[in-house]
Amino acid sequence: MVFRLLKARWRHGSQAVPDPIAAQVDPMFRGFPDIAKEGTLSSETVALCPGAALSVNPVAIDLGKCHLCGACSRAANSPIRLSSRHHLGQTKRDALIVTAGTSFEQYHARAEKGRAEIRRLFGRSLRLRSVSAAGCSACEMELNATTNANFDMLRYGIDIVASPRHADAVIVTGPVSANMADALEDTWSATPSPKLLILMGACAISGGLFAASPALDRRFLSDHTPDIYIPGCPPHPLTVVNAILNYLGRGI
Amino acid sequence: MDRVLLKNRAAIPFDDLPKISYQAMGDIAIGCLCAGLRPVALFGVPEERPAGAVRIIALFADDVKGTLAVTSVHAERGATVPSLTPSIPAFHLFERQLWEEFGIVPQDHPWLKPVRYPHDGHTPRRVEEGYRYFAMNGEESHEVAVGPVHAGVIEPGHFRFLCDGERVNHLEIQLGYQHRGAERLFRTGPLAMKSVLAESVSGDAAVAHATAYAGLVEALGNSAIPRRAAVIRAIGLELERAGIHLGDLSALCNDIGYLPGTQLFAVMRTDIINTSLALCGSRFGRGLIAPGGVMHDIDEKKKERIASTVRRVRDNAGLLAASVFDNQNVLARFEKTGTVDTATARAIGLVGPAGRASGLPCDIRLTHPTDAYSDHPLIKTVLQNGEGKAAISGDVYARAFVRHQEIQDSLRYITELLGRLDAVQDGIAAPVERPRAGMVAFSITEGWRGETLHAAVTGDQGETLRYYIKDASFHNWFGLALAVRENGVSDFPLCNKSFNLSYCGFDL
Amino acid sequence: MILTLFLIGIAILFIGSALQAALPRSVRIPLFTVAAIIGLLFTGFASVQALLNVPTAITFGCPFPLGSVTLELDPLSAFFALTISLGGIAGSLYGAGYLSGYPERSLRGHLFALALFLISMLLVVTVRAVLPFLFVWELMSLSSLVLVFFDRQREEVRDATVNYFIAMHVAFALILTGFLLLMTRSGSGDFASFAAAMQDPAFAETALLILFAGFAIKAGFIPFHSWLPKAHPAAPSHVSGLMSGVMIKTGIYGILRFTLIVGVPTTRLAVIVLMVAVVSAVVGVLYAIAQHDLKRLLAYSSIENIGIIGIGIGLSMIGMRIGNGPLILLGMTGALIHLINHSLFKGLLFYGAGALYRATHTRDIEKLGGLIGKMPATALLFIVGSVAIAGLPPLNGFISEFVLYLSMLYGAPLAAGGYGALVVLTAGALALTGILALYCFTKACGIVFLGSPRSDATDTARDPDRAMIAGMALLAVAAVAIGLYPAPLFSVAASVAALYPFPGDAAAQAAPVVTTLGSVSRALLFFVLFFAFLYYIRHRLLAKSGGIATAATWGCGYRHGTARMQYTGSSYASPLMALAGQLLGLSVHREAPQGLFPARTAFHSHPHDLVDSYLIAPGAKFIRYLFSLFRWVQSGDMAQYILYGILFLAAALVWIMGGTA
Repeated sequence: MVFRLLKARWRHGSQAVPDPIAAQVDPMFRGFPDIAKEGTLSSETVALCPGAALSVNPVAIDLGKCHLCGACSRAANSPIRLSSRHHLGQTKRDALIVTAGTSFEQYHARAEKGRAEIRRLFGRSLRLRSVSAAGCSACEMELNATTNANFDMLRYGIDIVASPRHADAVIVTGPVSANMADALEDTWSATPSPKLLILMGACAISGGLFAASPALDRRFLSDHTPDIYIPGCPPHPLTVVNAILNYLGRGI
Repeated sequence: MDRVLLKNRAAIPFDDLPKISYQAMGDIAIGCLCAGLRPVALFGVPEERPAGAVRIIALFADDVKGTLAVTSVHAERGATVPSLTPSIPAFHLFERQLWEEFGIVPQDHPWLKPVRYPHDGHTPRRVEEGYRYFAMNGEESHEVAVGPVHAGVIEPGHFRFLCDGERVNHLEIQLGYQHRGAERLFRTGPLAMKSVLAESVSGDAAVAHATAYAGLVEALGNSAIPRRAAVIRAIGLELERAGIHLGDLSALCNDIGYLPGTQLFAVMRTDIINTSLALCGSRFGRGLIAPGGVMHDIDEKKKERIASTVRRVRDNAGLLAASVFDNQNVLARFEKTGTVDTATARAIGLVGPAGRASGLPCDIRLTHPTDAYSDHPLIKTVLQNGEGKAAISGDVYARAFVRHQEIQDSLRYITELLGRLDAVQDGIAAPVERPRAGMVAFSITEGWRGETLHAAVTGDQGETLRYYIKDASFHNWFGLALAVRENGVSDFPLCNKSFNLSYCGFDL
Repeated sequence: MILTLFLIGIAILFIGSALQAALPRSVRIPLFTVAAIIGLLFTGFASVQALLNVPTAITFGCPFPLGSVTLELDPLSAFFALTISLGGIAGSLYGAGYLSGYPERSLRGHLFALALFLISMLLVVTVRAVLPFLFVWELMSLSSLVLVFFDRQREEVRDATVNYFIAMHVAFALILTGFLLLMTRSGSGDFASFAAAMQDPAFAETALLILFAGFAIKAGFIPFHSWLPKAHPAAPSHVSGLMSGVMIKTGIYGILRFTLIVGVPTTRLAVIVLMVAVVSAVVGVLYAIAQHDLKRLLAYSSIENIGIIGIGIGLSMIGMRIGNGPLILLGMTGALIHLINHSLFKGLLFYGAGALYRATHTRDIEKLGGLIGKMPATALLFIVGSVAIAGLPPLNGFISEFVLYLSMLYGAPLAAGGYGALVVLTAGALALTGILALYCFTKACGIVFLGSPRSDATDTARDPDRAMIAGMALLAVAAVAIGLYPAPLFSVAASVAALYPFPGDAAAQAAPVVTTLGSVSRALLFFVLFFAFLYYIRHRLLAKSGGIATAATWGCGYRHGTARMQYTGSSYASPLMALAGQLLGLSVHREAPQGLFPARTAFHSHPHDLVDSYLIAPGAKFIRYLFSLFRWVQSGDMAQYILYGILFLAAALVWIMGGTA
């Protein structure tokens, strides 16, 4: 029996992604949108977007609302192509808006690092407390995947903890339903300062395709300024890890 | 005529639904049960005329003949009606939902409490308000209350255990934290453009919900999809099933501290979902399915990639599972923990792998197959455990072992479907017609959690009057609550993971 | 001179208590307290002098039937007298506060009885002949009866008093029988003459067994204990503290005194003592863990600690038979140190329980909770008592158990064959007792002081008045002092232990242990100071960075928590009860939820004392049955009684006439 187990272990070899910062994902991955400088979007195409992320003058995608579904890229005469670049994290809400002609390098350069004191405190040890505020569980599964044998963000000192008392940051997934508003507020209050607020996924950042629903209560997010925004639906674990590492000054 | 018989993914005119009385409804329901039909759903459709009217639709499944029996009853908001729950316990939660949504009070319902605290319910309540928990007499017992925010990265829900010492006497689960008003969002705008919303109903069952949704739209528009698209849809669904089951086995091993199982199953899951990424650009199968067909084809390169992954994972998973299920320490934790016996499972309408592990032969892919599953039936193996018994004991072991079986079956089925691809070259998408006016349609898919139902009623202009979703979790949460009785509190995470239920699929 | 001081102390006590009966109400308690404290200071001082100097004896005449009475303060008596004095001082101080809470009662009789109680205990440990001993022994029982009977309006108290009365007189009967047996060999009532019994070891063994059985009832060894868990909760708390802390030690005194005088006739006797002690220790603490009533829990804990003292004595007795120096000296010393330690921390715990009862009017811990906020001083003192009784350093309980472990550690290699194994197993039993004691007191402290209130009994709770706190604080300080600086107490106890027959030089054997204890005490002092220092540093650092923010306890984001969502005492004890429940007569009534939508579910459990249920109750029932057969004798019919008189006269006539004929 032990031999069977050893055999199974042998077959798997080493599964760790050697360098999550430099790693690339499969070309099929729908990542950073390259929008051709000279391009227009028809109103039908704009209506295709489930998150209402598209705007026309200038042509732009708000990655905070974008579910990276690719519908706009498949429309006829669309200037939008989704590359497989996965470093999408930002630190300011308006930095998430990608206008036509913005290159990935320009976009990525907008992502700031946290202030020096935060980097000193959390740079080598950051503990996250996750609050699923009506997330659909895709973001939750990808967040869980960041600590598995492949991505292993624990090697950078980033880990997920069980209690907000032990946490340095609260990472929110989901559009924040009214039924979760109090619990989110309580979790935030229970986390000792200094603390960071991280929003993961289009739903957390803007409400996403649930934004119009009267069942939401996003007042918490207007009262507290997030420190890191991680777009995607769901964001790839590498997007999550790199967004945090970048903020801590350890990314590319 | 008191009922209509339909096939899965069929649409009929709404006015063709028989309208019977509540008394007759009770008799029909019991009659169906006696005839071996399974209760599937009981939900309300608000009608325009007269104002405040609600049509309650009841759906039963005949697993032997492969049909659905549908009937309907007229009721009014705020009315009191006789409860069906005492004779058909499987309807308990549906009647509570009718009460919460429309104020229809089921008289003599033994457990009338809020379901999901919707923002547009009959009597708006703040979450947790007005929920009277069942309590234990005696000052020596204590309650363990967990949630909404749980210790791991998981969706929110509130669990109330009644314990004496370490033993759980009773568990009560209160949900509703995830309510986002998803059903209402399906009604705004063209129904055919809601794939992303369907995938987000329960993000870990994106393909299952997308398949049910797409099938519903196609039924309403009376459109057909190319056979190649049907095959690719089935491949996506089975990839999702295998990936999640591997993740579940990994999580179960984690809960008992069997780390080789945790890591190795997790790695195999990553292999599968990275293959899904290569197929359609998403590790969760998002963006694969849309009404009319699929959005990504499988070329030779992808076919080879999928085939080799499936072959490799099937061997490795089989090897590891054999090792895990032979381990006495693993069996000591899994066996006789969290047991739901067959009679209870049937009474509450348990579905999916949990139902099958309790001995119920419910699987939509076999009983009400559509598309690829009807062209090319899925064959299930019944693996036996070391003692030569099929795993239907209803405990954690059975639910884990059933997952092992289903991984093997799904991966083998994918290989078979890949072989069929060359024979079906009729394209991957067909144009989809707009939903016809005044129809009602039901689309059921066997997601990895179990029976996933999407139903809709269209109005005079083909607009969506009512969109109804029933995730498998709607039945199975109660199964978890019953399973934990008489077990130790520390076995709860194990029972919970062995069911792996959806909070957001329940709360919508 | 020393004894004069001793007698002066007793006199002050007596006069003070007699005087208070004649004076107005407002002066009674203060007068009594002052008199008691001064009197006990005298006796305590005398005891200390006796321990350090040459022991003294005094003889004086007494009216019939006592004849001439000899009082002697040898080291053994002085040690017990010191224990009684210390316990009495704290008890009087605490009692002053406690009794002030009964303004409607006259208290004259109670205070007088209290004084008699203390005096009789002091005399029990100093008289040296059968008649005086039995006289003061009975005085002690009767005065404590009066004290227990304080809350006589409660049925529980009345039942407990009767039970106690019977138990004490069964003990009296056994002690009397033992004395009579010994007197047949010694020919006189003087204790010193009892040594003659050793000429016939088998006879001595029997006599001592009977004698020890009587003392065991007083001490509370299992299976002679069943009065204890009834009487101690029923008595008012200052009395419970004195009974548990001091009175039951007189039982131990009896065993020790007669072991000293007569010796250990057979090894079997020593093993019996050890076995009874081990059973008392382990079973006692198991019962304690099962209780919901705080004072009953403390009562069973006293049984456990008597068991620990008995373990020391048993080991010592075995050592005397097999010539094992460490066992004799260190076993006896450990027992004696534990004796005085127990009187300190058990008194503290009972006084704390009394403060809780006064504040909440309930002894049921399942109704309490969260009291650390409302009663911080009581909480602190109770927790100090709990740490001490659990045997954790740096408090005194650790020291006595440490000495016992040393006796076994040094003694086992020197003990041959079976005895070595016995010593090792005893070490295991002692360790088991220690950990169970920790379990018991984490339950008590956790459920009572932590968490949130489980009922409205705690609504108006607050710390008791200064006298009560002072009484408790005195004991707590003593516990800490002995814990950090044990060497003097060890030396004193060792000199008492040296009275027993010891192979070789006792002082030489004790010296290395004194050194060890010295190192231990330095280590503990360092430990305490180090943590105080760390705490200070933390305080300074936090003050610099803005202090600690406080927020509500994390409750998973749920806003409707109730007091039911915390462990109950029963749930905390439940894993152990699952193992030991049968042994403890735990009756569980469980109504499991039925069906998918249950209507009702319930859980109740209740521990029963097995000795009570299977030995005492059936025995009492049998005796009642037996006597009921003779009920016809007392028919109430006057004519029948006159007939008895006639029959008696007739029989007497016949006898006399037959005798003269």
